[in-house]
Amino acid sequence: MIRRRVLIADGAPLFRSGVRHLLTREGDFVLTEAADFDELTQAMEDEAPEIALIDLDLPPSGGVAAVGHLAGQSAARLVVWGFEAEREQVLDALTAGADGFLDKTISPTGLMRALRGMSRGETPLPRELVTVVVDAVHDFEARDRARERVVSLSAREREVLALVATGARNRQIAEELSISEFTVKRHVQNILQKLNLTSRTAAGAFYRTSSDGAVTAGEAV
Amino acid sequence: MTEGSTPGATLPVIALLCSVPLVAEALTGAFEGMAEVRSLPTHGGDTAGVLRWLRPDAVIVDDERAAESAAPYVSTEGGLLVHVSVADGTVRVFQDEAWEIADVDGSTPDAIRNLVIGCLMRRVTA
Repeated sequence: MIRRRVLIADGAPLFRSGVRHLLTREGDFVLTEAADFDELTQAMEDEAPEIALIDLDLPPSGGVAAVGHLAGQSAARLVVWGFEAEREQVLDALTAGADGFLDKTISPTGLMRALRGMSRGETPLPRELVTVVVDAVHDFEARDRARERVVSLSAREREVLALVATGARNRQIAEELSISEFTVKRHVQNILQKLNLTSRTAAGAFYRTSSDGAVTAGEAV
Repeated sequence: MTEGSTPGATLPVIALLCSVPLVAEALTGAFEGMAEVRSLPTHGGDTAGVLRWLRPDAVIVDDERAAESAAPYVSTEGGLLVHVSVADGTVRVFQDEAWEIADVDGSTPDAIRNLVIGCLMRRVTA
């Protein structure tokens, strides 16, 4: 029987012991342990595990940072696990290069199923997190489509759109950009026409989708 | 206590009421050969009823709610109750109707085992 190499990187001895006891009993995996990032990187070099289970709170900088460092450098499949992880933490881990995410309340049977599935190329994700990931993919797609449409706007129209998204009225936008209110009105009409939108409210929502709400008026140009 | 592997020896019975199954897995490993471990999930159910049926010498829980529901049983029937907080690694022991923080590293299964075995030994020799 081929015994696959698994590495667990977790600052809590309780969890390392739990996984060690489980894998020893099951017999089809060989376990290496690491308590922090330095031990993890050393073990990745020395043992070349096929699967690395990395704690979201791995000392000193966390599991996402560790995955970001290892992804692309190692052939191991990297899985982050944590307690009651929030949507953003899961997405950060996957974006950083993790091949899956598990909840630390997983049952021994569930963990074995996940590890064996990974050996066959499967991606471990708890059922409740699958929706999170699918929603995120949809959000990314919507943002990409919105960004493609923004390209059709001129630099000035993008500035106006960014200010419309803040709720500014035409007079305020005119003052901000040192242009006439009539010109602002014309820009807004052009924006709505180019983006195929029917209202300023829709334009504001479109802007927030395309920029993920992170771009300010000045940066939008 | 149950009959141990050594003729005439008995092993203490330890009930693990864990919301995190891998914690139960770790503690089961730590007590191997020293105690008979009965592991049960904490969610739902009649904790006191389960404990009356098991009649454990010690109860270990990893969950605040399970700790509170096991305390009345330990108060009336005796035994040892230990609460391990997975979140911060602290360990509390319920004795004389009150919780006391134990001076051990709750993130280490061996430390938890040593605490429990030590408490049981003191009760036997008292």
